[in-house]
Amino acid sequence: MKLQSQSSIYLSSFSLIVFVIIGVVFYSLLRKLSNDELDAILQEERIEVLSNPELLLVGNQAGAPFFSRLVANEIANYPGNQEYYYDSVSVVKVTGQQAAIRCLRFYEIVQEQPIEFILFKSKLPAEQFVRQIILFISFIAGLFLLGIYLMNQFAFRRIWKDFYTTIQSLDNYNPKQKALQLKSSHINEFRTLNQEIEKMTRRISETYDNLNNFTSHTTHEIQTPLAVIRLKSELLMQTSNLDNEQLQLIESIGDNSRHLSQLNRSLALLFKIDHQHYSTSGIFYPATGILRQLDNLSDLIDLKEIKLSTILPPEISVGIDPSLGDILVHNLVKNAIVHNLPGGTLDIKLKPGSLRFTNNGPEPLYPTDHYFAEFVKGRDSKGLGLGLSLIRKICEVSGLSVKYTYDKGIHQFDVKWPEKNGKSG
Amino acid sequence: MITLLIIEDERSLMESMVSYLEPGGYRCITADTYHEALKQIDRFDYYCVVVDLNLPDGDGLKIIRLLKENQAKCGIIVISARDTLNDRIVGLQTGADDYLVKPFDLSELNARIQSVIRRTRYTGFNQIIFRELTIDPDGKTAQLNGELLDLTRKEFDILMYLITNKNRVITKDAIAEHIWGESIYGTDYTEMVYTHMKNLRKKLQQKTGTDWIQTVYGSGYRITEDE
Repeated sequence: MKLQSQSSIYLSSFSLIVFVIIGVVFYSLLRKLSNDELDAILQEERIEVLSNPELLLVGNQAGAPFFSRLVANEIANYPGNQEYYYDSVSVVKVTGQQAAIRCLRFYEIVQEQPIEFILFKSKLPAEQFVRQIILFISFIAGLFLLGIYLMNQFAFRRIWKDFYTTIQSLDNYNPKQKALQLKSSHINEFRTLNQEIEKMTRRISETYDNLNNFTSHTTHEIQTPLAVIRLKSELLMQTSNLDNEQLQLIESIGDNSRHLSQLNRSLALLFKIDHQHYSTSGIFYPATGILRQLDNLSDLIDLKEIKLSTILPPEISVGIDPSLGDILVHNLVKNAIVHNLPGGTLDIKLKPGSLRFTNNGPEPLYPTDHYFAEFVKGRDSKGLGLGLSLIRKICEVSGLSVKYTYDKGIHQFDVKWPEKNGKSG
Repeated sequence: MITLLIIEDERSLMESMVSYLEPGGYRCITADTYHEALKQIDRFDYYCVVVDLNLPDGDGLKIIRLLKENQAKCGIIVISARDTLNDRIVGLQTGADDYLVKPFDLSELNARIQSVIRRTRYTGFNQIIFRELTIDPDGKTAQLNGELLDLTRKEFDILMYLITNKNRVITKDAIAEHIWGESIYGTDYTEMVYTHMKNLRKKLQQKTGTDWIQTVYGSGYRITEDE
């Protein structure tokens, strides 16, 4: 949820709760004031009734001045000079509807007969007044809430403008570029935030550059002595009078220097992918890369008598850096051939949004996910144990997913990408 | 005499290259800095310039540009530890004829030099004669005493590689990398090399009666000019 929406929800909810509480308190207060007013009128009328005994005599008769407001009931015992105010309802004769009334009950002895008097007055005018006031207040509250919402929208845009500019800059930030240069803000907190972000990105860019230089130099510096070892061992091999044992030793030196070079190169490649040396976009056509690698490894396919079946529509593409795409399919093909069984099968199916390799192979020694880690090798592997790490890394940085499953002698690699990430047709 | 200019700041590498190439009939002029290379460029009519990109006092790409501006007839081979596709593209677009990533085999460098010289100097029909064999590198055919040898593409490539590096021991690793490229690493290529080599030797032996290719125990193969 956006910060602005969240803020509006909080502010509106809080204001609504406050208005409801104020409304309830105000309503109760108005009710009390209105009752007090009615009670005062009833008290005045009581005094008037008591000071005019003839009125009491006509208490329950039709046409009496207080008839509609006074009820007189004879009672057995006089309870004393007591009076009670209370709310009740009365049925309006004309409409038959119930109406709220305010009552005053008091007792008096008239002609030696104790009588209970009930004076009452309709609350309708007062309630109508209270209702109008509440409606008016609700209307004002509604206007106020709308005002708060609109002001929040307006103020939010103005106040948080710098913050959103910063977020946009951060979103576009790439460690390859220099430190971010953010506009100064007139709001202290944002100014501090921008300064800290600038410092942080400067450190990130410096670290990136240092690491980049370090790796590039290390790769170069390691390759040079390795090249010397390889060349010298090749020269040594050309010298005459070497016996078989010596030749084998030289061959072993050459072999190991070759292995180290490949290791160095693959680790440098992993580093480069990790540190965004490659573009995150581009168009790659997997079919072309797969067919090229299958052709290159055709001798191995023939040697192992692997039964190959492919569905590779040439028009299907993936939106990734073409050189990374090439490394990806290159490793997938190699993996499926190298770890296949003699006489095994290899099925490659390319569809819009997915690429599947299915091949035979021995049961894995570890859970399949484990093989994506660096230096985890399959049975009798002559490789570096970095092929699947490269596959995973490329998928990670390019927004592709890769899944490796094994079931009853069948290894399956599924690479998937969002279809908008590629094209077909 | 075919003269080569080798520009490489690492002396050990340079000496190794010279040691391997000179017995093959080349005269090697060397430069271990950018400025030394500039001095050497105009001294001879080089057939091929082997240039490292990372020089202590300059960029090897500038030397390539300079050679191209002077319309030098020499072939240019880049040797560099920079191994990305982009590095190779930049090197070739600048004007290099070939790009070899370090570390490489000397036999591979030799093969590339010969190939570049053939392409740049002998643009017309050119043949390689080795004993009774006549090889057409462009047509990828080999004739023995006028009779066409029925070789597969890979057998022909292996034969060419061995002849280019005649009288030298070529390891099976170097052959595998030459034929299949680096992608072969991590596969069981020994058997593949062995199979192709066995077929090639059989085909040659059927026609010549002798086996020209020697197996160097545990290491590789050598083709010799002498019986």
